[in-house]
Amino acid sequence: MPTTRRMFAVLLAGALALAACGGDDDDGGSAEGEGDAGDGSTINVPDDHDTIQAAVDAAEPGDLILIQPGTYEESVSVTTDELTIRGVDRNEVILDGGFELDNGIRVTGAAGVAIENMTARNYTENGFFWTGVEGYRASYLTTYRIGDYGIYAFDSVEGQIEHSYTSGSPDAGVYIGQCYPCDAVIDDVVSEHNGLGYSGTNSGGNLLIVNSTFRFNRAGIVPNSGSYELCYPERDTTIVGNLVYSNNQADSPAIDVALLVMGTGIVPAGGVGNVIERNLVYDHELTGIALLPFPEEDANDVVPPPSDDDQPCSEAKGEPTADPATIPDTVLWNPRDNRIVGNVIEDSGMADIGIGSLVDVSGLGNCFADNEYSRTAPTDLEGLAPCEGEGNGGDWTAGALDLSRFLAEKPPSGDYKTSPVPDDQENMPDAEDAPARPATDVPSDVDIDTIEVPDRPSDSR
Amino acid sequence: MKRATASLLGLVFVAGSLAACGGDDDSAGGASGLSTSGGSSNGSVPADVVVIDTDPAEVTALDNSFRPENIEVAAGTEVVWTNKGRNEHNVLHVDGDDWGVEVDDFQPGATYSHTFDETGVYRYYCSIHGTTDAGMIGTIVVTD
Repeated sequence: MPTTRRMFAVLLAGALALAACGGDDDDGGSAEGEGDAGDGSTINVPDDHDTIQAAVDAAEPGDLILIQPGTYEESVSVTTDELTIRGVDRNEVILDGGFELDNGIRVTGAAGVAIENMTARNYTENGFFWTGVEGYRASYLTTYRIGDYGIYAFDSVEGQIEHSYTSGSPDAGVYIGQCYPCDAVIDDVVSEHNGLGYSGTNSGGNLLIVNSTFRFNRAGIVPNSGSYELCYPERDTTIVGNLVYSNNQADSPAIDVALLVMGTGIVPAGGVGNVIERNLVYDHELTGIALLPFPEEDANDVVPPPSDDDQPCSEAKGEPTADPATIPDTVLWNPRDNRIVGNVIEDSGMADIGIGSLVDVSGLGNCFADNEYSRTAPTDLEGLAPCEGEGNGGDWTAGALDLSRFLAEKPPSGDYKTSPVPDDQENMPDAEDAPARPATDVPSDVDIDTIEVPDRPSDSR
Repeated sequence: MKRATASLLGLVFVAGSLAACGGDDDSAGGASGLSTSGGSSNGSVPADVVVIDTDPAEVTALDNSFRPENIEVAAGTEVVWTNKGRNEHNVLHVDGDDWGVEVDDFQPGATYSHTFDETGVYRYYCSIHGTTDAGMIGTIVVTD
């Protein structure tokens, strides 16, 4: 439960009380016209309830919680299905954790909760967080100076993260983890000044990351496998049409993994069966797209066989782990069966496309085709491992990826509490008047085939 | 327990097996009908309790779940939680008992232990990643 529910700045604009509202009672439901909470009512904060938490507690499925401008020092816990929680102004409805509260808004086990058009900042753990839900949507959200993840969906399926901005998280700006199939879409997100722009451990299966920008992080898009969460490995994430550049940000906050892969654009670390297509990736000190292993020390389990790749997370969670005596000191999650196709990769310090591991990578089933690049490591990857037909039988050791470069000392993590404050972000259209829209219709359909390689922005290097 | 690190490209390959990190936990069942006692006032016995007959009994905190989630131990057993995730967690009792560990003392790699001397059903959770009854939760069923 939240520890503090105090609002210290209230209504700044447009505070005409609705006719049905009695003021500051706790009954909720100042519905526009009629109706009590539960039948699609609108509950206003602070007119009906002083705090977002009080409004959430009073709400019933289908309600809209409409929040007026102000700074809300709350950690909100949501357990009611199908709420729409919306700020009237994305840049002026601010949840502030004061670097003491853990999560801005956490939705636990409640289906179909949508959060729209507001900002979370200064939380020690997560900005907006769904866990164990079916149906979630994050729209027009901003997070910055967050201690773990900005927007975080864990053990959750059927989701949409869209039109959102995240910065200043040591782990990742956006994270979807422990789900298969996830049935989720990340669309039109900007993630910068984080350790990782995107991280997704043990997620995948109809999981799309599209039309988004990952820049100025230590590393850009980093799905990975590991037994420190359930439902391993990470697999079947589709990454298309993204702008991934300048992920060399030496002063951003960063966890250890972010330090290790600093200077890379897209890195499925121990990922399986991912599709990486038509992205523009440039200006990385090490590699643009790199297929790397994830060596996990002190692991909780061994790598499952490929025959388990299609096993849903719901089943995998019930599987027993290996006898601890049989688990090696380091469990090596190798990248396999990934498709790297049609990307434009430029200005990479070591290689535009690379693959390396601690085993022979020629047999891992990854393929490369139709990319625009200058250098690969090993040399001529598209000839060695094309996506159609047999490879040319060339030498996989020629120009091999120098893994030692990843181990070089990196600038230490910056303090997330002092990471940059973003500019104002685009508001949700018609936020004051749009009806409630719980996350019962997600994810939206994405026509992957029509997505093109994005243009280079005019303000980048 | 040693610190749980899952570092990318941690190129240290020392052959050998991992030190055992969990009790033998493959025997489910037991404890149905146990009444609540031992200072805990709330909780029925979960259906999927794993019986652990070792002392100490090991529980692993992953991101973001306790494994095994529900265990049954004999009175007098020490239960040891190890944070083998990469995130911060805590272990908080639901029912107001005097055990548990806060985030600062349960960072990744850290352990916490408590000996349960009285029979009862002890429910706990991580307040960062769960509520008292959903998300990252667990139960210790203590029997005679």
